[in-house]
Amino acid sequence: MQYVEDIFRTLLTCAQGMRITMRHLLFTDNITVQYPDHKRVLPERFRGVLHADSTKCTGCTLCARACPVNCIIIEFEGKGKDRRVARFEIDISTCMWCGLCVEACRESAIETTLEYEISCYVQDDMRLKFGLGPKKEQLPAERAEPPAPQAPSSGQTGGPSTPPESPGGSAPGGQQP
Amino acid sequence: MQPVTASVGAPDLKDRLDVLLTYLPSFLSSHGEIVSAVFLLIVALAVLLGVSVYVCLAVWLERKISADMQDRLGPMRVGWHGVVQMLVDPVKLALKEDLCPGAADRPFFMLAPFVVLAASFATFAVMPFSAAFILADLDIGVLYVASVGAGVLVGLVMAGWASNNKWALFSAIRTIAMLVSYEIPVGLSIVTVVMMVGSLSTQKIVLAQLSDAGMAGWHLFRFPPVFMVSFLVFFIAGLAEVNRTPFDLAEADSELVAGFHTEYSGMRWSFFFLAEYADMLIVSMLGTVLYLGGWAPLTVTRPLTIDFWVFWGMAALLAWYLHWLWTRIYLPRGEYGLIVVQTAILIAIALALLVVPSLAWFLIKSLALIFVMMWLRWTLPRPRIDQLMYLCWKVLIPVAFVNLFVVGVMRLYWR
Amino acid sequence: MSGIVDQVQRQKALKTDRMTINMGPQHPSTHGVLRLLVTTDGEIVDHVEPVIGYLHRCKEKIAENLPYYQFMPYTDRLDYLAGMNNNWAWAMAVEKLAGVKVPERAEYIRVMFGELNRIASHLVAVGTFGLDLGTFTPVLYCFHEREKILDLFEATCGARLTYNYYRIGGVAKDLPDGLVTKIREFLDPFEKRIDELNTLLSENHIFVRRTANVGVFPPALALDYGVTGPSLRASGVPHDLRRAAPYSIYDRFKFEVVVGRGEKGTVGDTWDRYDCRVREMSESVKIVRQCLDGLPDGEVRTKLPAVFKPPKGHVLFKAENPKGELGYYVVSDGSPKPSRVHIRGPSFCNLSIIPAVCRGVMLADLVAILGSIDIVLGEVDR
Ligand code: SF4
Ligand code: SF4
Repeated sequence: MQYVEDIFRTLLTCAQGMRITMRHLLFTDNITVQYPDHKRVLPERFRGVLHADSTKCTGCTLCARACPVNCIIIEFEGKGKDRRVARFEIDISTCMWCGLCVEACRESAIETTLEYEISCYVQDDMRLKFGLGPKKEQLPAERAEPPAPQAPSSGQTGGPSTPPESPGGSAPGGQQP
Repeated sequence: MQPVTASVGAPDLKDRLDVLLTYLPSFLSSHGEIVSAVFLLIVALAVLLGVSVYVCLAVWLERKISADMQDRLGPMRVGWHGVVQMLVDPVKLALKEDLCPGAADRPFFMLAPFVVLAASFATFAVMPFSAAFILADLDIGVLYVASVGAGVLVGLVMAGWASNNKWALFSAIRTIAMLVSYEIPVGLSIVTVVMMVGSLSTQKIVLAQLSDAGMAGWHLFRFPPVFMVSFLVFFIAGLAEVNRTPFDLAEADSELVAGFHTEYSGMRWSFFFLAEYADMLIVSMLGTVLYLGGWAPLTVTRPLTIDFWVFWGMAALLAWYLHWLWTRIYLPRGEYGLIVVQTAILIAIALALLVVPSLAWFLIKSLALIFVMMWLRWTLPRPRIDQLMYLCWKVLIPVAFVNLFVVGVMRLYWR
Repeated sequence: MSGIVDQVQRQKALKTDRMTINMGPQHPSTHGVLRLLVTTDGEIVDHVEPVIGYLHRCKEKIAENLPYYQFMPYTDRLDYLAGMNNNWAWAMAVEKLAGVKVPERAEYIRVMFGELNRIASHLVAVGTFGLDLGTFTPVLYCFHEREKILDLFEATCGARLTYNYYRIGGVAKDLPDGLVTKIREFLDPFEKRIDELNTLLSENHIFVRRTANVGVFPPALALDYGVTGPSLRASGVPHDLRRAAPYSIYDRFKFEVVVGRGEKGTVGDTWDRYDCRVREMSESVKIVRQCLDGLPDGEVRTKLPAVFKPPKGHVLFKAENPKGELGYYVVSDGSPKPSRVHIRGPSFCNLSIIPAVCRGVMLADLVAILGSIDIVLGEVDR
């Protein structure tokens, strides 16, 4: 009896399965997105390639310290009042797209974009170089956080996050992704 | 050897291809044996070419069908919906490097794909493509198919053994077990038909099914339960014979990596592929010959026959589907002019079917069976090797034997 | 008599031997870079020895060198099919260590996303299990559904696989507008899709015969080897941390702890493990629905000090992940970085039962059993 039932069940369930695949063949829409021609609409919060806005960045290095893989490189030049960001690079070949740096930045200077096509031929292209920051003297005092010798910041009361016009040496000429 | 002959009366003389193939060789052969031999060679090459073209088409179709069943698109880039993929794929394979592993048994490794290919292509010799178009109408036609087709086994085992790869060896062992076992149910269900017809010649088997009643004359529908079961056994065992999913245990990718062709690459690998698809065609063609009336056309215009109902029923279904599709995708609902267009198209198709040469009938039926194979492949999981053997020895063979007995009794009292 | 002697003689002449074969690390059905050293006697598996470590990335050591919050993105990469759950367990472990309170709304969001991710993970498990048994279509149907869940996640946190969404003390961001409706839109037809899957795969007799009575985990053995999650519940042990030791707000929801019923064969066979996952998906849908109904307004994240230093101490926290119990053992020395973190990956423990149950099965069964315990190598090797 088990024998007959097995045969019967096999045939029946296979036929049922075939009905389903046939239904998909005939009636269901195909869901493939033809990628380079059509692209998915990305949600606003999509965490793509990072972009740092050098006009907003204060060089506080919070982002660099929040990064688990240390792929944000910020270097300074000058001393005291002349101290400013000389180099702001994000190595996106190391970046793990966690978004912690974005969360850490209080100026909303570093942000994720909707960009995700990042393949390139030279590895150096994976290092996103952003423009030089404004001079240190124009920054609100409490924003200047440790790593290097503290800039004497008397009388600099905290302006809001809008970056001041930078009169000299802050041409934001960085490459954008 | 007999050249292409018209030994069996060609009933469909409207059929131009048949006429050509019927009278040209006899005309030529009156001018000497050599000419006819050359002609035979040309026809044979044409068949080979045809099979190769079919394989390319089938691969493309399989990709498209499977994609659609899985809500994907399949090849879309090369040409319209990827049709040119058919041509590009072989080129790509031909250009690939032909690797031979260092530890492999080189001569056998190199030879195996050709053995497989030769064995499966040789079977086409006895396929009756139409009333006249058959390369060799052997008296032992179906026996020839079964025995030459088994040559594939040798090739697969050679490949599996010579690769010197453990997975390939597993595959070779499975292949032997499977193919040898499944020869039996295939053979037994062939015998039921052969007993009915009283001949092993493929052409005679088709002629036996040729009648004005069209579909009703097919073996499949002639003595319904008996031959339907026989057909089912044949088809299932045939699937196993050609290593098709759900019985693709020899190349079960989730277990044996790729089975016997794990170590193959490029053109040699594609020969296995070619042979697999050619084997599918053989099983479908043999099924068509034995049960579905071979090249015998449907008589769709004769009212109130089965064919009539089936065809127009299908046509109505198709019309409904097309309508559904069109209203859904291209046009707003309520375009009733469309229905008129569809009906016109369907009538045109029906009329076209009347003049379709019997060669095309044969191919249509075979391709329909191939579609079923693909459909099965993309639906079913695969059984285990012992279950496969169980299926063969404890289900198919007993059923086939009972069937054979019934057919024998029928023969005894029926004629 | 002489016949038997002849036979014995012949058997001696025909030299048979065991074959040792490497299944993996490059094998289609080892779900990643797992290597199984299999000794077979023909098709029969004699002995299996999992060889792991191909995906080892020193997660535990990394954790010791990072502040607590920075380890969060790394947890995504443990069981990369259930990033949310891994995040969650880490967040809860640290919260337990430091006594951080989580806002109500955040708890609901966490449960909801944890359960959605459970569905996503089970969909992959079920689909790839079909793939292991040679059927290709269900996996794509499953992935289609999973894709919808990933879309929801992407809309919320911006990533499809490595979410890094949970935070110590809440979640990173509140839900975007309209997400609740979208989740409902996903849930409503979902049960129908499960039915379809059942017809296509679960009930298919070839499939049933391949899986029923194969690779039975007796409850005692499963417990001995520390098997957890659906693989344990399939053996009839109703152990689910969400019910046994409710963390977060699981005590508020009504759901069934799915256990194996041995419907098609023995309790604890491969089919049961598969089926448990399928049924658990329905239970998760129920929980998500309840979350949506009860979702309160309010904050989603507790403010933590800029330099977060949990007090000295150690904590072991276990959470019910899709694969089983994920445990974090965290030792704090009062500094911003943990002094030791140990991760108990469910896949690792579940994998350990393989040698015990895979003796005498067919090679194809080995693949089926491996598929049915649903391992993710990211978690096995950590
Ligand atoms: S996204 Fe993460 S890994 Fe990338 S730069 Fe920001 S913090 Fe570093
Ligand atoms: S945290 Fe923001 S402001 Fe500070 S260095 Fe980074 S990008 Fe600039």
